[in-house]
Amino acid sequence: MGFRFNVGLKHGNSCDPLVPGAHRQDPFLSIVWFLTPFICPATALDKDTKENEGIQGVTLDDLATISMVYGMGRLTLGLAGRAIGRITAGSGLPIRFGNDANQIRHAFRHINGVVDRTKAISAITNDLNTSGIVLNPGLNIRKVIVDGVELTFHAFKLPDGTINIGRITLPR
Amino acid sequence: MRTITIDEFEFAARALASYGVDPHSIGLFKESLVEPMADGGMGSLRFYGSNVSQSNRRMSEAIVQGEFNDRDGMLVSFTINLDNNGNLFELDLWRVDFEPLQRLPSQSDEIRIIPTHLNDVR
Repeated sequence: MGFRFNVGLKHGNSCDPLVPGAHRQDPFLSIVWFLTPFICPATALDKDTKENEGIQGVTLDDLATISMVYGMGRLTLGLAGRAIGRITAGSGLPIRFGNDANQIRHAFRHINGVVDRTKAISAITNDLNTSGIVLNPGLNIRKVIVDGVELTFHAFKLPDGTINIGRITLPR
Repeated sequence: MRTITIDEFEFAARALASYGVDPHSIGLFKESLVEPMADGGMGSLRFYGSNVSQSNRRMSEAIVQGEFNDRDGMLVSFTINLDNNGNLFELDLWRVDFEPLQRLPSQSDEIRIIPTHLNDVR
């Protein structure tokens, strides 16, 4: 209980991200870590969900979808990790497409009307959750294919493990 | 809409020159009209040339991409994009932690140009 109290003091909000690695040391935090994407759908992407409501192209459905994919990735990798005794580095980490609705819309602006945004989010999230993926220090430029269209996206892994996605573009 | 600032112009011109592109050849001038983009203060600009049709404009390609470090050391990635008619379209700045940009680099050696063909291997 003492540890829970400390976590509450440190984060102030049960939906804030946990200290990286903390879930591996405490059974309670393991449960929180696992459930966070389901009960706090905006945590990984955008803390201010109200800003996203009603803004064209950025809906709570999108965020929920990302959370679902992210959560399922955790479930799959968590089970696989237990089965093989390890979890792939970089998997299950928060993925953000912006700090607010404008930045999320900005990141996706080049694919609007060409590629379904939800599918793009799913493809990028899956790519980053792929077993064996190691993001280099600095900028990472990766590609995914959505409905036959190759998307290029830029990813950067912050020191706390969060992966930021900032630019998504179509082929020339 | 407003005229590009001298800092923005010099940064873009310097980046283009590093890549061997004459700024004037793609329509970058000190009088260029720009619109700051709603990117949370990261500094991205949309260009509006006087003879450029604004209908159905889309990004075609990034002719320059690179990076520099902000005042606090945080990495900032940038691209200069052309539209589907070959006109100057955007200066896209992405501070990788999504925080507002603090400054544009004032020296050429602060800018690291990334060859676009490295897209496939980085």
